[in-house]
Amino acid sequence: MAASGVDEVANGIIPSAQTPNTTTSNQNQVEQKTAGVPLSDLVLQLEDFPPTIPDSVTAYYLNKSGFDSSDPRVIRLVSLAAQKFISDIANDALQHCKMKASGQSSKKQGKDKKITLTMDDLTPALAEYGINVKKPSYFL
Amino acid sequence: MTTSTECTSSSEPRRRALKVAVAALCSENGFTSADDTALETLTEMIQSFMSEIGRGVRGYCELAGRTEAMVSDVAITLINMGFNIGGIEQHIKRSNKSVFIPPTQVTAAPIHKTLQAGEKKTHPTHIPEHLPQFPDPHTYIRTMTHQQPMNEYQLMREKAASQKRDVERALTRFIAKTGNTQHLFKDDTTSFPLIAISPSPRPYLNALLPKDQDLDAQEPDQVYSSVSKRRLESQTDSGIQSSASQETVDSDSIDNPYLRPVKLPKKRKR
Repeated sequence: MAASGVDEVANGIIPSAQTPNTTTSNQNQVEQKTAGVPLSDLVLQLEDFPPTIPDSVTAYYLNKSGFDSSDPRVIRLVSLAAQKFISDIANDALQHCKMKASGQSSKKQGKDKKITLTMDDLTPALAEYGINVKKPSYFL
Repeated sequence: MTTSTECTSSSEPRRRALKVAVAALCSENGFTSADDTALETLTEMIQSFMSEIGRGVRGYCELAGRTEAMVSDVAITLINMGFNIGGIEQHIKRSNKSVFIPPTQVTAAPIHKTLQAGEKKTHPTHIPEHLPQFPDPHTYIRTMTHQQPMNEYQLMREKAASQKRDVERALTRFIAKTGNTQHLFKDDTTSFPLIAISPSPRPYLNALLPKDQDLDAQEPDQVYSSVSKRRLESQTDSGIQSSASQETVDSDSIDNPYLRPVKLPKKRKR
């Protein structure tokens, strides 16, 4: 999904049809519309969707890196992007957990009532993103 | 990744808020509970992610010659990091959004009145507020390290006069102790040493003949004069105990390496 997303975005940013292997011009135009000017549309809708991460927290971390902006919408955009990032990872971890659960106990309750996020699920989910975490198995 | 390991008092509450937000996101996705380690990992990741975005946005913004970031900078940064921008909209419009309750605003007043020494200067307008404060105003106090030179005429004259007197005294004492002396009182040899006069056989010669200031030319004169002086002294053998003192002086000079007579280097004549 990430790879296809990059392709779409690449097509959007480079308006001229440099990619001969796209399917139809219609699709090209549609992609252009969605990805070429994506965020300015998004920004207009930002007021309706406050992000989960408070603005001040995001602003603090961005200021630490030297980011300066007086426009709160830009900050909200960043916090939304971060949210999506984490949400995707959590989703992948959930899939892993469900795979394991369905593999083991299909006869038990139809749905696991208590799904816990553990490092065992998180590690392969992160590995797909190229982030390798090593948890110490015991603490001295 | 730009993960900083410092934890200041201002980063603690933010970190906790981030953790709460991460937990909310996880519960949205369907998790009912989570490992603390896993939550910490995700919090660290989201913090790194935001710092990295901040760095990238600042870079692109400065590249374009701006100081304030814009949406396009954020867009390019996200694309640069391999992030799928189209998915953001999708993510926004999901149904089970959790309400974000910001943590209670604790207005902490950590400034100790006892330790504070004056008010710090506020930033000028071109400096954003999130940068560190100016230091305490006592930082800017300058005290000169050198004293004011004394300009009073009277003091300077007094100082010059006393210095001159001290120098003369020291010098005469030194020569008296290392060279030949005559004594003011017959009994007392040490109290008032006078530098002995070395009589030259033809005193008018010095005045009549002009001489260059040349140490080599003076050498034989000195030797001659010291030899003649000793002869004279031994010959006269006056009541003045200068001979004794001279001997003692000589013996002193022999003993003390620093009081030996000066040896000038022999000049090779080429």
